[in-house]
Amino acid sequence: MSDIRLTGITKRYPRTAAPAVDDVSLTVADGEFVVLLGPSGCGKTTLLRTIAGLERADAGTVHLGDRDVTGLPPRNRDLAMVFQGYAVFPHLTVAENIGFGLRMRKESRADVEEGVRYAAGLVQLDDYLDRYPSALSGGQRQRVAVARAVAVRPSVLLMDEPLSNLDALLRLSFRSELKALAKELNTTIVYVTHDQVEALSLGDRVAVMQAGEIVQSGTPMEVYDQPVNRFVGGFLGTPPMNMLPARRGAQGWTVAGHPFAAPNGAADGDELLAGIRAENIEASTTERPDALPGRIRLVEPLGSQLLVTAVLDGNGAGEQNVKILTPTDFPAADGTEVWLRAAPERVRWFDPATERALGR
Amino acid sequence: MSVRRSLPYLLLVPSVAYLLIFFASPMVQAVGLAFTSTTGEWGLSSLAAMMSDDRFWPAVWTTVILLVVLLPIQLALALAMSMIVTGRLRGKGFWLYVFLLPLGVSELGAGILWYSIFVEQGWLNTVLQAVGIVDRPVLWLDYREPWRVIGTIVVAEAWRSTSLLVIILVGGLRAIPRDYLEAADVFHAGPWQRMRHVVLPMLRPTIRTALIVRVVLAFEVFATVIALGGTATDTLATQANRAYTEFQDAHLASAYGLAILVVSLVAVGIVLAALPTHKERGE
Amino acid sequence: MRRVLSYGAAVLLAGWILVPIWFVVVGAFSTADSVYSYPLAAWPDWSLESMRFFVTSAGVPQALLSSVVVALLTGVLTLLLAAPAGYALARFVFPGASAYRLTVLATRAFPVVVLSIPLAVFFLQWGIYDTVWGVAFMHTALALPFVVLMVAGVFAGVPVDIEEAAQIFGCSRVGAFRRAVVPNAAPGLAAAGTFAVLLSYNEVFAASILTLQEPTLPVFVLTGLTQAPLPFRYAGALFLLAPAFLFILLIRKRLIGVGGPTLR
Repeated sequence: MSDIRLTGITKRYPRTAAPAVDDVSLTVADGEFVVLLGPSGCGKTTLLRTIAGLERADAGTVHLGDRDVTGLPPRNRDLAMVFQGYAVFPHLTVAENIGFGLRMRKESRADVEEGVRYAAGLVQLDDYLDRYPSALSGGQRQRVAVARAVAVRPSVLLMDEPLSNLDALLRLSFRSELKALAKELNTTIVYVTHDQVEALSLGDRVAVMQAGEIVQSGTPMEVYDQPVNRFVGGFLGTPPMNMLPARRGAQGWTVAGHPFAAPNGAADGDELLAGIRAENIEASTTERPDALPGRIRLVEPLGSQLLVTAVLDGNGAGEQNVKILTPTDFPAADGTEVWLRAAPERVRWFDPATERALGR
Repeated sequence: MSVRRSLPYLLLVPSVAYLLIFFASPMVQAVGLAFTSTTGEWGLSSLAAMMSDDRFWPAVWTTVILLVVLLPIQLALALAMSMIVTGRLRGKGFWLYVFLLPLGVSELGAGILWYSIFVEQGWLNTVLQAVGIVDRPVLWLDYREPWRVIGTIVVAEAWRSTSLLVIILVGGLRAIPRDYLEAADVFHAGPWQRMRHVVLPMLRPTIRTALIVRVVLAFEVFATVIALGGTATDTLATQANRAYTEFQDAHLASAYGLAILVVSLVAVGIVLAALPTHKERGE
Repeated sequence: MRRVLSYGAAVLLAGWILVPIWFVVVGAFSTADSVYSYPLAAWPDWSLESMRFFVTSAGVPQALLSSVVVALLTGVLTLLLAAPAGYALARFVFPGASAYRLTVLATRAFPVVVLSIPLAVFFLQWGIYDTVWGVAFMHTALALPFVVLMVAGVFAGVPVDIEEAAQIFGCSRVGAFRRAVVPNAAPGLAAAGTFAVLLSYNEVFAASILTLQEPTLPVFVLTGLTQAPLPFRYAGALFLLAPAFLFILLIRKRLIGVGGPTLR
């Protein structure tokens, strides 16, 4: 097992102005499961491929354990990878696929067989060893890819959106399997995804990327509850964090024209953004003091909860939509008046100009 | 340039080098040969010798006529075949195989095949007589009737080399998004109108490619002519061949080669001018 | 009604292609008497007389051997040259790729007539005139443009991540090519190679220029054509045509790729 240290990785592609990866440094501890999360084009896959050795960075170094592997080809890095499209060899059987890495290392036939059996057992492919990939379903092929990676007992395991090609139901069950597998293997894992739910559920740590940079790195709860900027707050969470413009008037801070408790010594300026998650808003149909009044515009039943979209009563300050998650027995209907409150410690304040959270 | 960056170029080197040796330098040589006489002096004597040969102009005419008559026939045949293969008939795989059969057929093989059909005691006459259209065998390959012989060559070539056009046209037809055709149906266009207003315009660039390919290959027709026309019918290609094999005159043969090249380029130019792309038309 | 017309047209066109082929078969498998008789019978005698006559005629076995050797040489040589170029076109995006494609294709616009004569002169100087090597070199130059594009298509059809997976799991770049790409590209490469082989087997103009005493089969048949007796010609035609039909059966699916989108 080894840790990973990336320092100052920069990668540019010809004919694009902005670098795909811009001076990124990242440390992954030995045995840690780190998720690189971000929208398409943020550079997460490029970064992963740089660790793998499939891309060569224009600047920066990659260390695996105490080795500087920056100039080494993939096969000399003692790592394994699960590709988004699985990349299972069509011309080999499942057993031959799984044993591929072991055979390339010239392990003895007995060791190869044992390794294959071990890995196949971990992903429940024991009965499929003689089949060819064309006879397998997408989900089964994915297991072959995982088994192939596990069989070589790598120090570092890389995964490039392994679940994104599966249908929704499979994706969920696989996610649990992967998490259990990761626990059992105890290998250092770097996992790339654009699905924030996956990131939160799988990673020991989540590194959120945007436009080639890591904007925040922390535990899932840190990244979820204390986003460092508007982007992270909006990217994580379903639905995205509500961003309510707040204004400092003569009598203090207001949101949509109604008084709202703002942090002490807030900003120098007169405008802020209040970030509140949908599940942290209390909604009530009876009037409450210091609650924001609004009217329900849309109700979307989600099964376990209701996603209510309400419009804040502008009071001259313009309309503002708010999304709230309520229990299913909430008496919501189009047009109902609601009063919304949030505990102050659950509100995250952002500077509208820099989009960064206050206090960072 | 790092090794990585230059890798693609390095991979191209073998084929480029090969083509430089076996294509570029012969081309240059050919021009050189054509412009020197058999005694090695620069000049137009070889060209002059070529043009003053009695058989030169008939060869030119025959070559051109073959092309001009063949092209529309082949285009029409290929269009019909391509539409069948991409249409809604059943057994598309079978039709495709059949229509592409002549693709790998050697020129000479096809020539002999059609000879056996057109020869006086051959298949065509057998069938015609059996059906009662004629009561005596017709001399199709009569060297005194050059037009008739040219006709047989046209038929043979139409049979042999339409398949390449079919491939190109099918590729183009497949690329037309179904939406366009369905939209035409929604707007009550009949099959002919659909053909004229939707399919053919979208097929233009493909037809152009097909014509260019066909034109260039048409000038190489050689064995078919000999198989059917014997020594009496001349095209530029047969003349070139004769110049080398019979007269041992590489210069004369190259002169013919150049003549073919010139006629080729002119024909391609005509095709390009007749079917300009959208950009060229300023649309 | 339209469907009836369409089917009618399809049958007519298919007949137009198939009936002449049948005639060749009849002609080749008839006795000499049948060949010369008139009117011709639509069903052959199934006699091997003409074929035997052809195969044992002086010069035919050597010419046939020559043709086969040249064709095989062409196939191998073309594939060796086209493989790296096709790989480069399929895997890399680099300036000059389209220029290369166009130029290479454009070489086929130049008539073989123009090319073969100077090459004959070259080959005389190099001592390979009238040998299988000379003809093979010429045929390779003729086949190369198409085969490069076909091979590029074949390699493009092998997903890149398979190569990368091989590299991750222990292969060098070359090793990954050998172990991951080649096995999956093999059928396509075989088709491309067969295309070159067939092109060479059929080619007659350049071969006639480049040979003298050691002709290939088409050249041999051609030279004596007008004096040859009919049974000889018909049997010869069958020999010339047979490989083509087999070939088309094997690779028709892949052909559409060269001119446009691939057959689904």
